[in-house]
Amino acid sequence: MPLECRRLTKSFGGVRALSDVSIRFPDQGIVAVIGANGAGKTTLIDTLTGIVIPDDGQWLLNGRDITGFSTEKVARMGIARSFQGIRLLPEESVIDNIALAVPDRGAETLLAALLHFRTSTRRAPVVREAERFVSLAGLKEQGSDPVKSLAYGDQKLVSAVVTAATGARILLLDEPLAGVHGDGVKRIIAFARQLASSGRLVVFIEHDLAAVRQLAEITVMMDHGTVLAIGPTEEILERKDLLEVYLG
Amino acid sequence: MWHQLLINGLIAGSALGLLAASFAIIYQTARFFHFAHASIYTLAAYLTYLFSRTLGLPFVVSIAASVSLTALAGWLLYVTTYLPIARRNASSTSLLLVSLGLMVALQNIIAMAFGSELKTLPYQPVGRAISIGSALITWVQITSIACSLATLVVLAALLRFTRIGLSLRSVADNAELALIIGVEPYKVTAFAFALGSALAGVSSVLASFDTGLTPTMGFNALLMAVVAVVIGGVGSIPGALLGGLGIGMIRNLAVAAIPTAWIDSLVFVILIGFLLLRPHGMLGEAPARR
Amino acid sequence: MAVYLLHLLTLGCILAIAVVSLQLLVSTTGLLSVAHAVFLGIGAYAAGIGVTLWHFTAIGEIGLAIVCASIISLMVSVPSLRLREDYFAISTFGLQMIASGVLLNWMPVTNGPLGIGGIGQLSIGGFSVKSSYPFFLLVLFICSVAVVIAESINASRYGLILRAIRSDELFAQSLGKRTLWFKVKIVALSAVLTSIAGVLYAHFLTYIDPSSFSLMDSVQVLSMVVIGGTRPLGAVAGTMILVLLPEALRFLGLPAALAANIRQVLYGVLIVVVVAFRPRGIFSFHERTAA
Repeated sequence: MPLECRRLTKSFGGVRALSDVSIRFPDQGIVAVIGANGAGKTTLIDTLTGIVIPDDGQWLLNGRDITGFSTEKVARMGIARSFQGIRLLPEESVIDNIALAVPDRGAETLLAALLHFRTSTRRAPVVREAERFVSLAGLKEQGSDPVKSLAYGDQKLVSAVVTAATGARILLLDEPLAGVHGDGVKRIIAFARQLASSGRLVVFIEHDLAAVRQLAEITVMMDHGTVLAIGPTEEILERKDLLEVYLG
Repeated sequence: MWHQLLINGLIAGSALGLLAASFAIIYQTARFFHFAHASIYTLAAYLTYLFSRTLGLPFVVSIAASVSLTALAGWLLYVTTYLPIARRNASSTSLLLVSLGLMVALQNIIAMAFGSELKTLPYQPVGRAISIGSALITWVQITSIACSLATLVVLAALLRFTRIGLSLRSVADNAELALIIGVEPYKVTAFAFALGSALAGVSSVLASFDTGLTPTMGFNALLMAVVAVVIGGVGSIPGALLGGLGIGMIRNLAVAAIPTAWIDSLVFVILIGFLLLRPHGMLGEAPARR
Repeated sequence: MAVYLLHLLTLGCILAIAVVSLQLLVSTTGLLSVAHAVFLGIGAYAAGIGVTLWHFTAIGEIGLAIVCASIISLMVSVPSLRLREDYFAISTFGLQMIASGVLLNWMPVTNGPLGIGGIGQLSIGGFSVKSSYPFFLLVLFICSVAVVIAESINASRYGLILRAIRSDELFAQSLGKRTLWFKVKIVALSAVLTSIAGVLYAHFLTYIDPSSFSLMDSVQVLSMVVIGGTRPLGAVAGTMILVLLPEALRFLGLPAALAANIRQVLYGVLIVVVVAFRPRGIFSFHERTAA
């Protein structure tokens, strides 16, 4: 069982954000996490990525307890995430943002910085990898534009691409489609499909059920910090009782 | 010996606690480290010196006048310098830098005006002292502790029971929320500068009876106060008081164990120790990770 | 006059090494050190003690300076950089305070307020740099090396990651970057470069005492950074301006103590004015508020 959480519990000042949450994730494929605001979706991801320390319970990766590991450590173990708000370097180009995420530990030492004058930002293998991701996402035309000049939907896409470019096998996307319309939605969905087809696990939080239906094989439905149901997406979205809870 | 050290610690600690609390009040609302507070502190002592020694005014009048002027000076610093810079969306690092520049400039202006040599404030009842256990305590020292305590009581009452105290706390908790309930943060912050500067003034006058005046007195005192604020818990006024008292005590008790010259280094080690082991201090809340 | 000018230029280049180092730290990380004079002092005392006690040559002096500056910088950076950035400034403030105490009181090593004299010429591999002109060339060379180092870091992947950390640390962490170590290493590099300037400073002055490495000297370095702006060459220019400008005060015939005070008021006011009127300069960046 590659990724799994057991009996996760977290309260914020008396309010239960997560209560006894246990989920076993598949090895690969696309999983959607749905639920109303305050259901605990983001907190779930936050407890995995070292942003929130759970009061109780564990995260296991291949049987190893990784609860409470720092954000950077989790990322280095191959679990990368995006954020609800866009977190990118707005002044830098799309390519540089993606290249930043591509792991190149050899070039990230001070010594390398001192020796490879002007070459280490754009080392060929890193740039090639970044360019591969850019064309995969259909962002070729904007590659050298600063991120801040892109449309909102494209920035959300870049954000997903950056997460993927870390080389992580498990990707957690926090509302990758929020505020994105039309063509933008299609491109992000297409990109997520490509990631899953290359053997990764993509977990995404989403409100738009149409997108969930299109994309997710498995859906986790949360409510008030608990898992209400988990199963194949068609089944979950068919169940009237669940939808009533979701729609309030 | 121990009694004496304890009492000295209490005296130094109460003055330091007062300064730390004054620094914390400003920090809570302004959200940057106001290093020029050091010069405000120094200014109060020199103004008292000017009024009492040079102009020969009665003591109480001199102290009252210099504390009021100090409050005015703190308010002016905020309104004329920090506020316009903060309004341009400057980071807390730029404000910190500005405060450092102000500190250096003011400290040197004071040095130019009054000279760099040590000065003392005169006080009449020099000879009289009472003994508690094996310790001697002078009336000046007793007055000093009493003044610190009285100031703290007034401060606590002000923060707890008055309208302005409430606004101050609401801005400290959440500036945006304060704005919603109709409190204008910049006005409250300006008030915090005046209040904090007045408290620093009291602390400065009390300390300068004990140790005399030099233009660099503020720098040394403020550094101790900042350490007190950090170990007490940034953002907590009772924490700052407690931290100040603690540092004052440690500095005086350590005299028995290590050479005086190394006490500042000891305080620095305590600071680093707290940053490593308990960065939120004694009374501060553990910082939530983003 | 030429000798006097050469003297000022040499002093300017030595200080410029420290200023470029601090500027590198500030522009890449936004961290404020108010203790760079301490690192200058560490280098100067390493040179002074190394030469007078153990007859070190340049390599030994610089080696000692690098070791000491790295250790001290780690002591300050590792505990404070895990916290909010203000804590770094505070820790360096504390370092500045105790450094003066240590230099004054650790008699057996620093000779206290008497300082260390007779440091003499720098000797490199059997040759000693005798006259002031070759010494100036050496200093100029090292200063250029510092500028090149700063530029290459700005242009490197390391620099890009530092900018990422400065603009959004959590974002950098979510990409698996060990942000603490990126910052700790750049602080150490800045401290080490400054301590090398300190070695040169000791040989330039030939006599050192604690008064040359005070808070005021740190603020002087900072104000040079502020004037210099965001590029390394700007930092060199800022240094030269602030070294040459106060020399004008000399010709006004003011008493030395008063001139020193006026100079420091000038530094302080310059910092305030530059930050106030160039808000988009080196220290400006929008702080990210957590969503």
